[in-house]
Amino acid sequence: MKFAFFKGCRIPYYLEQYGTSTAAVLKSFGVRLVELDFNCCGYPNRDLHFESFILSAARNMALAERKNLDILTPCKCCYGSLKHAAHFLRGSRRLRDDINALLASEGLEWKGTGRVMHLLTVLCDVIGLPTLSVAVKRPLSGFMVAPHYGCHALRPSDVVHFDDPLAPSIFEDLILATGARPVDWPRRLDCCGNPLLNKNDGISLSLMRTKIEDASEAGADCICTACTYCQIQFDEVQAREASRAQTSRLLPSVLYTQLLGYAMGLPEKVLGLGKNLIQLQKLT
Amino acid sequence: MIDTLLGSSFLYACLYISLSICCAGILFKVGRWFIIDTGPVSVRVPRWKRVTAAIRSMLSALAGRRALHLFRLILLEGLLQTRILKTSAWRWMMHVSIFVGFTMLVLMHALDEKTTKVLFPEYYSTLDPFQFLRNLFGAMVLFGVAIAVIRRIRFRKPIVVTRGSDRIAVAIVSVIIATGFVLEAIKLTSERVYKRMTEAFYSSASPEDENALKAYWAKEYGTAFASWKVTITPELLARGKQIHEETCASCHSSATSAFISHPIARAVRPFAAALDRHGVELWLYYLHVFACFAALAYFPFSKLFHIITNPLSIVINGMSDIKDADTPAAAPRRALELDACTSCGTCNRYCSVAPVYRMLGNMEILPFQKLRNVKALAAGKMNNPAKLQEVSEGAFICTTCYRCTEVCPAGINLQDQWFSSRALLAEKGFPQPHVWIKEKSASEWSDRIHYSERDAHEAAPIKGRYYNLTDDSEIFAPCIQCQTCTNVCPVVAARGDSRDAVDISPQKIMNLLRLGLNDLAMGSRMVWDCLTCYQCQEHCPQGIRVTDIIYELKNRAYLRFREMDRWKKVDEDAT
Amino acid sequence: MTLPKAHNYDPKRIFDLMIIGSGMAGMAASLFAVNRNLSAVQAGSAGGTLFTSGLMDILSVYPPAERRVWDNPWAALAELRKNASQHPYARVSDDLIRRAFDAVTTFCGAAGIKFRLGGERNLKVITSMGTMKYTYGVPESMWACVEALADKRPCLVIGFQGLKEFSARQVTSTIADEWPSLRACRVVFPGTEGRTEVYAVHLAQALELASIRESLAERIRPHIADARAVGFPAVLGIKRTSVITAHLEKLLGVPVFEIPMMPASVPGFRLKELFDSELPKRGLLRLIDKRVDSVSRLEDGTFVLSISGEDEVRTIRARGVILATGRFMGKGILSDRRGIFEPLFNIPLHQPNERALWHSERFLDPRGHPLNSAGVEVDEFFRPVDNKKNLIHENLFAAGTILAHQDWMRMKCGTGIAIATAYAAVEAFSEMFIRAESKVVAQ
Repeated sequence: MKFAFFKGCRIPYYLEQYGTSTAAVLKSFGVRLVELDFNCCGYPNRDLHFESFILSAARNMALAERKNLDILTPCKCCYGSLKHAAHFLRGSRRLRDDINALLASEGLEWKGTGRVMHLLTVLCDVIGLPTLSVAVKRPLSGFMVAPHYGCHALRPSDVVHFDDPLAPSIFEDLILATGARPVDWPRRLDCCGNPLLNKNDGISLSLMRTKIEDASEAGADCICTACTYCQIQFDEVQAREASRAQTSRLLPSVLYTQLLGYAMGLPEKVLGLGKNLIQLQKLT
Repeated sequence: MIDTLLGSSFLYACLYISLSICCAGILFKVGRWFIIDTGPVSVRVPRWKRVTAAIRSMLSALAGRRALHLFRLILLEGLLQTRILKTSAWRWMMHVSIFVGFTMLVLMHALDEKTTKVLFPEYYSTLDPFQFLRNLFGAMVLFGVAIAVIRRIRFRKPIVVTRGSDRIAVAIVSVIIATGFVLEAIKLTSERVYKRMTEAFYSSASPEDENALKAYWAKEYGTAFASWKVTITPELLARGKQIHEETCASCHSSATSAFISHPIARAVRPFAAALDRHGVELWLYYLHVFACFAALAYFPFSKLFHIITNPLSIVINGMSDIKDADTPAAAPRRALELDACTSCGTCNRYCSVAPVYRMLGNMEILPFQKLRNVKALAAGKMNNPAKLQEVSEGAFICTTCYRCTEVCPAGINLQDQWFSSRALLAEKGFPQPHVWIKEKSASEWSDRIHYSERDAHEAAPIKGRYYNLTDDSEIFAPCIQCQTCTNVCPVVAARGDSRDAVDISPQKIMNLLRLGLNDLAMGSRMVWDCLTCYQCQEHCPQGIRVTDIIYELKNRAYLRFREMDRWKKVDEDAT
Repeated sequence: MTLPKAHNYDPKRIFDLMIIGSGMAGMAASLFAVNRNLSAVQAGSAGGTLFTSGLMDILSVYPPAERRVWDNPWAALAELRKNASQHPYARVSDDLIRRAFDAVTTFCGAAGIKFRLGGERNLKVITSMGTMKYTYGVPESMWACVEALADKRPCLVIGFQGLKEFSARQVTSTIADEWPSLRACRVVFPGTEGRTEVYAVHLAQALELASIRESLAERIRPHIADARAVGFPAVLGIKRTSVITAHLEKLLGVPVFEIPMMPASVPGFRLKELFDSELPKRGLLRLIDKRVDSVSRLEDGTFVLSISGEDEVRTIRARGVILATGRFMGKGILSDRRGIFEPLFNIPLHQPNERALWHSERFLDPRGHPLNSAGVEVDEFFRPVDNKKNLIHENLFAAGTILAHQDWMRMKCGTGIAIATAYAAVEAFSEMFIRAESKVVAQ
């Protein structure tokens, strides 16, 4: 099984542990990840210029298509961005032609034949939950985990085709596979607030705080994320805010690949749990 | 070479002048690193602090285990230039050829009295392996230069930008090497030079022996003897060879090892007499030597200065945490880095948002252009608001992915440059769009649109070429104002606004569209505070694509607003 | 282990039942289908149940022209069946209606929203307009109002600053004659200081946090005085209403109730969330936010439904279809200058002969408008027929307010019609088209 590994702009220098833990977990299931000359997925630019976002996304998909590879991405914003772009490209012949005219100068063409898949979908549907369960060597029994779905992979469902947008279950299923218990928290489908970071910190941080309080009250030991930005929000931003506001109550957040990898007994070197700013006592 | 200078105090004086200019230039440049500020005013560190911080970090670099890392950096990235190899084998070849070639020429040839002669007492410049090596190194430099030139022709703007200083550097190096080769070639053919040599080393020769040697040299070395009408017989040549081996061979290897100069000599042989008559050899010599002096004096002000700045930036950044680079020693490092850029264009080639440049057409998005802007900003040369807006757009479209930093062969911490210049731009009133757009209210923007329309006599709404949700009433007319979108919007929930406004919830935006007040919607706070979480679109009972509509409003607004002069006073009463 | 989801079902599979519509009728039909272990698919817009009030009516006003209100819905039904033989209720028995309500309320109760049914009588609650409403099923969160209203106990109604759709003063002043001891007061909801507009769902979400509830109770306590219960606008949480209500009762020391509000309101939101999250778990393939574009029928009677999507066309094959697409607002019925029509199957609709006869002259005519009772006519198995009483398709069924000869808004019988006709339709389909071996699983 081979995928083009779309890491996005954040993982290499801001969340290295997500890249290493994802690669390690997938490798142990025989999935090969190929790195291509990808550019930014286009998500940050969609705010400003539609065509730039489409071209950015289209180029990435065309690169993977040229190598006959499907794209696997661990970041939900990247996932949503690529799926949206594909949706828009399919819906307008004119757009397709114009974009392909620009891609042609690099010998690329967007045909829409390649799939874009999120890490969780690959783990759950392609590798399969039974295979995951079997690979777990130290089940995280008694560990209460609040799965954070994030927004951009989940909605709008007719574009992203990730899971049921109002009652998704994929993340809970995956957490159960590690032996941990998923917590049902009312705000589990809410946004983490990261899209407004540095644009409107008041709202961004307020959203973050509400989610953390909600998860804590639901009895979670930690939040679990499967998106680069969400993890940055709940880890780095929470830590930064806590030191600024001098709050003591911190709720750790771990990446799903760290959780699963730990349960599988993978070494800390690839899991990078120590690199998370808010340490999770139970796992370290 | 230098021993000929001994007799010429003029040339010596020129050398020392060039050297002084060079040293003074270096001091000036280094001094400027501690004076220039590329970052925001609010966090400026006093200049003396920068000096002490720089010294402290230099000392700590030598401490303990770090010294090993330092050594590896210098060896691998400095000497073997692995940074270039990471991104391009051709460029690595180009640069290594020039680097090795030129360095060896300087050490082995220009400074031969001080180096080669000391190590190899039997050294003479026309002796092998030195003659061969000299040609080899010169050839390497020319090979490298050729690759560089071809590359710059093949990859033009905007990826690779060729500046005047690039051209001058290529020119100077080429002139030095070319004149060297031609000089060597002419010397081979020159009768005058031959006479000089025989007067010094073979004065007491019989006419037959003279002819024999001449014959040998004419054949083997291509020396052209004007008005020398002697038939060259094998016996003459044999005798000439014998004399040569006795007298000349200890300093002169076969000319064929001068594999570049020798063919040139053969080519200019027909003109050798004329060249001799006009003393071209001497002029060429001066040209060659003065080109070197010029390069020396020009060195600190030229692209060639990267010979000093690049190892420095590679080492400094290699020894520090490039993610946590905002230290007191940051300012001098950033200024140094401005001098380290060799406009190779690698950063542009790998920039993650290069596709955005292709669409928007704003060159200030690309890293190389951004670095030039940083320089211009620091020099106070950028004050035009329209230009600053363009620069700011480029600065904030960057996704801060560190790719340019990773690939920069000069080891510049480009990402840190971008962070600090962004802060400076924000300070100057050019922050990211979400911030400067929200500085005005929706109605202020709407007024501005109409004002500028009146001004420009155009009322062209910006229609999307592909999708137009906000113009298509089929899309938003089904809105029954049930407020579901507003009720599920986390931004509305979190907002602490006390002002009652028409633009702060999704259903109000729909209402504005239904009323045809798209202009008012474009600058509204809901639009620019939208999280894009898609809750509204997912929950709308009428299937209205609320978030997509908000995105389209953002896009239209941005295209409009970025063209406007947002500081101009709007006179609503003017007709 | 993974249930079929919208993005990974097998397009060649022939499902038993396709339910079109996501209002009460569609949701109820889906429930009854999965209860019978039928493989069911449901598509519809995101709305539907969102617009319900949270109350479940059987029948409280008959005949609407006289505005006669009934204490006993079953007696009302008997009267209705005597005079309006074409009303949907005329084709179902009381027993069926009770079974249908039972099934729905059991399901809701198990999922966290308990209902109290009136049994032999209608229940009375007050609304956010201050009017009195007769209904049959009341969510637990509104029950204390029924009791308090019955004895006219002194109670307190809380309004929140900025919540524009609810005015405590309006409630108390409108119902002052009937319930003089009802008092009003307004507080600032915790965290909304300084805001001039707040929204019901946000308040409901905020109340999921214990700290907010404590803060709210503190602000209310000084106003309680002799009140024997406290009434709130319907914002007491989305998922954990019973926990929130219990906690508030503990903090305030008196029973607490919610007052139903205008659509779209939180109780409707809750029901929608409940159906959306629970039905898929029981095996329903729920195509959220999807509309059926067109339908075709194979020779063997299998329906092939094409589901809208911008970039891909998806089809569902089903042995039977229940059309529960509602009326004009949900686009179950469309209109043009000449008449009204049903867009999916082109079922000829019972309607006034000409457009001029659609409406009465008076907008608020208590008899309603003739157009209100237009719609789909059905046989005794709830299968659509044309104006000559011929079946459209033998495996096509219709349920809910799309049916003709009912005026649910004026008769206050919307939920009842939805649930009962859905039950009857699923039962009929099941008996006709699914082999007898299929068990009915009592849920």
